[in-house]
Amino acid sequence: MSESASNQFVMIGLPATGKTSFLAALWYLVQHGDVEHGLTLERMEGDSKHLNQISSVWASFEAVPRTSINSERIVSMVLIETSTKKNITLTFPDLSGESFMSQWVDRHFTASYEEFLKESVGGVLFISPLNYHKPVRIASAMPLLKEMVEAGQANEEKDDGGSIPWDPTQAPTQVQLVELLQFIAGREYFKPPFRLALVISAWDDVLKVKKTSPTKWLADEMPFLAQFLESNRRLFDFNVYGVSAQGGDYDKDVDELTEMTASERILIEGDGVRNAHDLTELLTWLMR
Amino acid sequence: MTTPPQGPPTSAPVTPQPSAAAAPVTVPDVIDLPSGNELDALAAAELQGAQPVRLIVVAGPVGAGKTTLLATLHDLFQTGKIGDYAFAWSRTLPAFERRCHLSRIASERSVADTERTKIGEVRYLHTQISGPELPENLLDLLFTDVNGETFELARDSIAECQRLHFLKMADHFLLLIDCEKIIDRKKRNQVIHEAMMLLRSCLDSGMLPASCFVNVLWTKYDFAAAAANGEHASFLQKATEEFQKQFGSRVGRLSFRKVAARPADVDGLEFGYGLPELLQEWATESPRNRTMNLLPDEELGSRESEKFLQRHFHSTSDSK
Repeated sequence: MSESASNQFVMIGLPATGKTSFLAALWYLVQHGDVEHGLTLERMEGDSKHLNQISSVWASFEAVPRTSINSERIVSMVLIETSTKKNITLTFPDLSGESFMSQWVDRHFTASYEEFLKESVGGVLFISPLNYHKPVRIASAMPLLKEMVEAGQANEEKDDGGSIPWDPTQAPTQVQLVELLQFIAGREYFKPPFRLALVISAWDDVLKVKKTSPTKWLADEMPFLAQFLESNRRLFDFNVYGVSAQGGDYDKDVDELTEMTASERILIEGDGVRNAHDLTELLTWLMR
Repeated sequence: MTTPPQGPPTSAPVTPQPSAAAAPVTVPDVIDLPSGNELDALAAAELQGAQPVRLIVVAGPVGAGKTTLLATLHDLFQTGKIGDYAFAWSRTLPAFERRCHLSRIASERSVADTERTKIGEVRYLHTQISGPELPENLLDLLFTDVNGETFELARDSIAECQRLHFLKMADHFLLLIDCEKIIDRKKRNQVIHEAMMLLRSCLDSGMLPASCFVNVLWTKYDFAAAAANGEHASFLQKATEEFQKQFGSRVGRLSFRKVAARPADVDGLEFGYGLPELLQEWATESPRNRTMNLLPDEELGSRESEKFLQRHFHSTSDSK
């Protein structure tokens, strides 16, 4: 790891998958010493208004506003590695989830994303375990369908064949994510292996339902994506993390959360993670 | 995995400036990405790269279950590996998804269906699999996406059959026979007769290579299984023997398999019944090693020009 090395990473994720919350928690964490962390803010540089705003919101137990297409921006942080005292500049584009949905639906990159991707040495792919489309076959869902019809919840916009037309935004999330990664690996400038950290966000919510690991969750819930990654290890060097940037539900868990130091409510789990509150371990893995 | 040539960006880039933290991103121009639609012959031919490509011709009349077979294969991968094989890549993900749509609750149908393939040019669907004993652990599978009317024309006319250039490149030729019709005693002889005529036309026209592996698929087998009638089993056995007698020595290998892509509630028939075994055959068995040319010879010149133009003057490509 050196100052001259490129530390530019793309943040990839469909809408509402936790990208901005991750950035907000990270910007807070690297500035405070309430938990140990491998990377610390060395100095502020340029305009930090966006990062400051979202981290202030995060610190006050409020939902971080989602990035809209009109508010997309590139953010950078000048950090110092605690153990080696080396300076590291990290740069991420804070793009909206709609931009990534548009890649799948409209089949294009923005020119700025393309240019950013060319210089990136890795990426972070965000997945929400609370909000994703799974393919459900009619044969396995007959009782549910009958309920929908009886409750009048069935959509009226059916075509002549009595069906709702195919809507790409409703395609299985795992298929959409595979396509986003295929787009990256298909560019002529792509240089494998591309280091990819997968972040299963709201990890505290997953653990409330069942004891699992991030890798197991991915294999169970998104087997198509898991197969793609396993089959293409020479293209993508990946590691799967469970991350809770909020630490819990701001409505239900706020009493418990406010008893902790701010950074203690950050939770990260994954292969190789030593400190469960240190989000920068993910970044260190990306830069190793 | 090779990455294909793609054209330059269509607009001047906006270079990120790390020192200017939180600088607004300039209003975007766009870079077109592969459409994900069905591949034409040119795009399919470009697949030949580091790993081998197998061409699976999916043949049969209208409604025999050709598209359902392919949609189910895609659906099965979404629940996990199929036997020893994992999904690795697809250049036609949206095309597969559209074919799965009418079998999913998102369509709000009460009964699963499959969108009929439209009449038109020959198109291909693509899936790359990974698994043991494959070269580089990877194998590209190309499936023809041809509507039933085209095969009905080919059955009735050698000249029409000779238009199906892709037959010459077939590694596996799947001949689909609909068991829903087999259980109808008035229709069943006609169904077998027409299937045999199609295979005969493909062979007599010189289009289907004698080395090709032909697999007769008894599709919608759940209909035959549900009938629980020994007579149907006996009929299928006699039809099998007739196929062997007429075609056993004319093709590289003739085999038979019962398939129920989306079976009704019949004991012992799970979703995708018969597909794992089929996939294994495609993955492990090929009649020959050869380069694949899916373009008619007379079209090669003009298509090469088109390819040149596409590479050098367009930023889009339907290749990964």
